[in-house]
Amino acid sequence: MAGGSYPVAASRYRPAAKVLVLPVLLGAWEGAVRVGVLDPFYTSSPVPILATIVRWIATGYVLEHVLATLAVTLAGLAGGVVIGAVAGFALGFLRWLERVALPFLTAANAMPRIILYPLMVLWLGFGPLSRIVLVASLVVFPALLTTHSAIRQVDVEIVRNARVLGARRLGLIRHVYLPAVALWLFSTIRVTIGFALAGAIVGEYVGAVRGMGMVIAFAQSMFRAREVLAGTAVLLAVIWLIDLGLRAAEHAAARWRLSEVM
Amino acid sequence: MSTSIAPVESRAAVRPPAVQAVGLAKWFDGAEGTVAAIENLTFTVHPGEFLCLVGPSGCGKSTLLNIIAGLLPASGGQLQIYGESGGRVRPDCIGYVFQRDALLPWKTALQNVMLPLLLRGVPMAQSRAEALNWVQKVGLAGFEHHYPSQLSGGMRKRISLAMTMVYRPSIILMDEPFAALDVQTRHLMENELLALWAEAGSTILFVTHDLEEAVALADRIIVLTAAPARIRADYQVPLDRPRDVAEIRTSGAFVDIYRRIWRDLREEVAASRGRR
Amino acid sequence: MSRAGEPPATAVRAVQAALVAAALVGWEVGARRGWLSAEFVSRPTAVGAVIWDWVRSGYLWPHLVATFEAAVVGLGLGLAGGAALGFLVMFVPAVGEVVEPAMSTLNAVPRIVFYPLLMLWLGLGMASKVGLVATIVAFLGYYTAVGAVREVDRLLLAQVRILGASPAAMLRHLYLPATLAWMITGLRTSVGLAFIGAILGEYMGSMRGIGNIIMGAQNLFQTPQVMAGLALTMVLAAAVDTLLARLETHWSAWRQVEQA
Repeated sequence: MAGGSYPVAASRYRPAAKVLVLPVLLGAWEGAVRVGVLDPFYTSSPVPILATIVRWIATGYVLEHVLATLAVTLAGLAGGVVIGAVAGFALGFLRWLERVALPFLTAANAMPRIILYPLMVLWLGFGPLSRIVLVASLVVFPALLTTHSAIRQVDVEIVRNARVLGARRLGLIRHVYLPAVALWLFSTIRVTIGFALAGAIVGEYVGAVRGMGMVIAFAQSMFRAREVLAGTAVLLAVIWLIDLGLRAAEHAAARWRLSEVM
Repeated sequence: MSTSIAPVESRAAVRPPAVQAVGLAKWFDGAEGTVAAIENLTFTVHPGEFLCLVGPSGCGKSTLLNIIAGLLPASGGQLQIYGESGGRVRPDCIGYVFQRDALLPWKTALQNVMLPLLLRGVPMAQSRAEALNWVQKVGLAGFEHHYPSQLSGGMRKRISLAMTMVYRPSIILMDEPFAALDVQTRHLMENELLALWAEAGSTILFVTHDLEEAVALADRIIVLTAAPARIRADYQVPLDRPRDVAEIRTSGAFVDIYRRIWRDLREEVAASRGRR
Repeated sequence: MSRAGEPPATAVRAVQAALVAAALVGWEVGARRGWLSAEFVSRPTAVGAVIWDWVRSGYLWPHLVATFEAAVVGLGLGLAGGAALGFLVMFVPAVGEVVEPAMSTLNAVPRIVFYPLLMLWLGLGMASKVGLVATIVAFLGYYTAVGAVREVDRLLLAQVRILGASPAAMLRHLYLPATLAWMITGLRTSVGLAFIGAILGEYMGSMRGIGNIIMGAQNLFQTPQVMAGLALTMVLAAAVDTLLARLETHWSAWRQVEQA
């Protein structure tokens, strides 16, 4: 069936254009500030921002706070995933628990848990623990439901076959269910890491002593545009690197995944 | 192999042919190399003619229609619509009724029929009146404000017809429009089409793989070969009009013509099956 | 498909109800008896009393309105702006080359990261809150428009071209309605995100709204108020979501035939 054709003529200039976009934008920004079109009080300009970032790196300021944010994120992520996976296994194997608990858990998953942060602060103070628990709460329910779903979806034939081959419950878990779950969990992590980071950062905005979120929020409260932009740029760079890393890991995982478990 | 009739030729002398194709060709670059869909197609369609294109499935009939409509460029040869080439879609000349109905699902039946008029700058009130008129003509009075999802397949087909004919295109392309309908609805639609065509006087290019349908409807039938499509035969169908599609199938003349054309078509169908 | 060992539905319901009741009663009694520290967890009755007081005294409404206003305005701006950018990217290839990779990169970033920038530029009031919501929702709007344009039925496209539609007419009669249809399907998600965005914005700035109530209470260590605010938020979010779910089923009425 014929339809319209979208303009897909390959442009000679395309690769060059893409690379040039960022420098051109930065140049235009710098120029606009010099000329007076943009007010540097609000926007700062590329050169001082870069200088700030360099200074931060040199003094180890960036490292300290990036690590603080990442530590909270990863701790919460790990905690949430582990608890979620264990609970998911329990739910997958104990039918009565599943029937009773599943509606509650699904409802809990639908709740916007990130807004619970003030309650965490009330209970756990402003330290990293409240943020770790917040991140964990964001991650635990998706992890739980994903694990449970993965277990339920394991092909009955595979299980039967494994049983025939002599596998008992522990063997089944090890050779059939764990690989199935691991696959799903990996993709869940890719999805939830965004929430985890958001949770950590929100916590740092509201009240923290360490973390990139704190750096940015503090600068904002003092109306220091340069540092707000510098901090945001650093945070963006870190997130981008994490995303790249995850994609690489996913490619690697896809390559040695020979067959579909489910 | 065509048995020309004098009236057709004298008409051609007065006006340019509706469609003139010379050596038309189309090939596609696919995964397995270049595939020719149409090869060296030369034919003329006269204004007001009801021409059916028959051929085995997949022989390139739809591709030909799309080229004539301007949706696809030809790879070779020449195509002239009313004496003009250029290959672009000419909105006033051409109407197209697709096999699957192409009604906009977010517009009511009436709004769909109004669309081509609005696109031509016809004022709202007038568009509405014209469209309403056509909705009634296709027998769907009372259903104007229904959405396509609320209409049956046959009804949607009728709205498609109305939508195409409302702006009176000189050439109407139809790609197996009734294939998806049940037999009775199909007969109904075929009769309606003949009635609308008699009134409008457009040129119709009707693609079908159903030879019975073709003989019942057409003035002229072109048999296309299996892919790549070439012209195998060109028959006139001198059956009287007005025709009733269901009744005519039992007439002797119908059966004669059908037999003759089927001999050609059968070989092409076998050839296309053999190739797959 | 019931398997052996599956508990009957009524028994399950009974157990669930009992658990909820036990939790509430346990909470209340535990707080009163001192087994649970009332300072940290409060009591259901205290929380309920706070909500009742807020409703009765009229304290709640201006804040509720402020949050809803920010959510709705931000939603509209974000969806419209995102969709407009999406159309631009799909119809002007040069723009698409530059913008699409940028959006793809930015999409991996939690939008909350941009909030301090927005506060810097738009101040601490409603504008930055709306800006945050708009930023969050804009990506949804963008990808909806891009998806709708990409996935538009080729048949409809061909038909509308034959009927003589100019690019502007195609936008108006084909792409825009298609995009709207997609957006309505995704409305539950967008509205949910808008709501959360408004509240998070209120956490971090000093402005009116439910988030403000919660934050203020947290600063004063008023546990019942914090819990009341959170409870209200959850209930509202659930109510809006249910309403939208109902609307969605009504809306699916004319969508059926497209798949046929």
